[in-house]
Amino acid sequence: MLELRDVHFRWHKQATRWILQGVEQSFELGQFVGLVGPNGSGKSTLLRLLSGDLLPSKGEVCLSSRKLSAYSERELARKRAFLHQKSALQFPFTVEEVVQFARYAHPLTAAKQDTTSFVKMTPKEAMETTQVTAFSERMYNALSGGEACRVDIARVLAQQTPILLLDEPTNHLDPRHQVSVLALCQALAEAGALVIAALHDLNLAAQYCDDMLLLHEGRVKRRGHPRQVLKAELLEEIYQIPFGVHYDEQKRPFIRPLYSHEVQRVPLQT
Amino acid sequence: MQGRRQSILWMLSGLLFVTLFVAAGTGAYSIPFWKIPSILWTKSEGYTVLMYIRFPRVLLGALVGAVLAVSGTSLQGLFRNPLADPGLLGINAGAGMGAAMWIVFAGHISLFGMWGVSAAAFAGAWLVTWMAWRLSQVDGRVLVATLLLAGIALNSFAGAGIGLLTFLADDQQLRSLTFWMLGGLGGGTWWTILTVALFGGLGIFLQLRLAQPLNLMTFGEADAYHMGVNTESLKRQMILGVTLSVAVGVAAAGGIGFVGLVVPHLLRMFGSAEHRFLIRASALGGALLVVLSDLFARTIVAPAELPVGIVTALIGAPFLTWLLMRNKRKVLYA
Repeated sequence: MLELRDVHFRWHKQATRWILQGVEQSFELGQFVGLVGPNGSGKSTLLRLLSGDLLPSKGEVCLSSRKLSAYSERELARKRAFLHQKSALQFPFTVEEVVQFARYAHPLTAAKQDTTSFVKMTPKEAMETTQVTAFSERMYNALSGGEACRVDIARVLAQQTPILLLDEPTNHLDPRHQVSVLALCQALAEAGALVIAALHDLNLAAQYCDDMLLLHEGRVKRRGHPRQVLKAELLEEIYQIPFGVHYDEQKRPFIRPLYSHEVQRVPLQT
Repeated sequence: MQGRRQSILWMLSGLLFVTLFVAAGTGAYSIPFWKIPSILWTKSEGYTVLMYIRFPRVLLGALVGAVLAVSGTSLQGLFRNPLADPGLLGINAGAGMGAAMWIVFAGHISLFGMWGVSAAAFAGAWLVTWMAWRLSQVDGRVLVATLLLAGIALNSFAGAGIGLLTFLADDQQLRSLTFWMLGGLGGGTWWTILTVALFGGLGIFLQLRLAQPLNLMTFGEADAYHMGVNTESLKRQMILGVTLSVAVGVAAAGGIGFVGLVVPHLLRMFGSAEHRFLIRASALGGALLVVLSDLFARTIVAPAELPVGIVTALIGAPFLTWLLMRNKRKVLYA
């Protein structure tokens, strides 16, 4: 469905630093993929390439075997929605207006639901889903970070697209809302959507995604089930600190960094 | 929310309508505004004053005010910054320089009448807007400080250009130039009004048509793109709309500052930032502000009159200062 074919990216032609090198991946509807990796590993860039916002310096990104650049802005906005880390909104719009704006790409179906999408939420339903209805009349730019983040998620849902690209959707959220956002992503994927989310919290990612993609220095280090990705030696190589890996009742891994006093005594678990 | 916006629009329309008649009736030859319809109908005493002096002036003021306020609104949305204004960015000065070049190099103001000057003003305005846009953008973000500094630079460059042109002009041209630069709404004829209505209307129409994508643009270019906006085309069309309206406004009445700054700001505070509302309301509010300022300017020191730009600056400059004070921290950390 959504494919990266030998994608390379650097900011300009003279740049010596490649942000992404030779990424060859494909994503299908129904998947919830957790994109993980250290700061600066290329997660956000990868998402922006998948959305068409950035163009690859080499290689190509295809949606249904057609290059992204062959789609119009509006066509793409009906296929995929994007959640930014932060919106730089300067003007006083109400929460409800912000969510309504997502309907821009569907001018004629503003009232109806889009039948081609798996995510069939009206702006109202989207606001209820992310629990922002209570402050729908408040000004978006006066909200706290977590509240604004939930409004942004509602906006992305109201765009009613089969593909959702989320750049750190759990940033700024308290544990309760982190869990509910990731459970929502899981439910959307089960309903048939493709959700790709950049996540910093490896444990949350391991709990909710069945498919994780670990990036390091612009290359895909590993992709697969959390059990295959969250390996102590692999994580230590990438994050440069030792990790302890444990497993819960569902055999899902959870990890924690080992503190210096522990490293002396406890041998690394595998 | 929706209801309040509607009532603001109706209120402004009503207020503007009454103000147009009151302003048309006020002056050295005073006509009570309720008698105006019957005078126009019967062509009785006062008809000539109304038709050849008062109404052209008042209507031109309304049009120029509408055009400037709408352009300010659009520029603020486009630059994602509430401090953008045609005057501050140097667009007025750019239009002035274009017009001055036309007068000096193409001979005389009356060559092609208003249209030649307007076209030259349009070229100057477009150049300045484009430069301000290019200078202040870095990676899709607008740098506020650079934007304001670019405005200063462009303003003084255009000012110097106008100065140079007055130096080069011969006596006849100098007279046209000075007369034109003094600006004001006194020179309004039905022909000027028609020109401003035509091109300014086109500009406003273009901007109003883009109100919805402009709403999305205030989230930043990347967000707007992800929601389906063709951002490059939006920017080009918006700059075209803005320069078209500002240029024809400046060509007709000279630079009237601060209208584009004050009006949208007040409307955002009391109404909404939603551009379909804001652009309409700014047109009405801008018209109202300029007609009232002009009324004040020509009655306060009667029989002499102040340039209307002085009155709008007297209101606008303290307002801008207040705005800067209020946004000091925000600007610092933006």
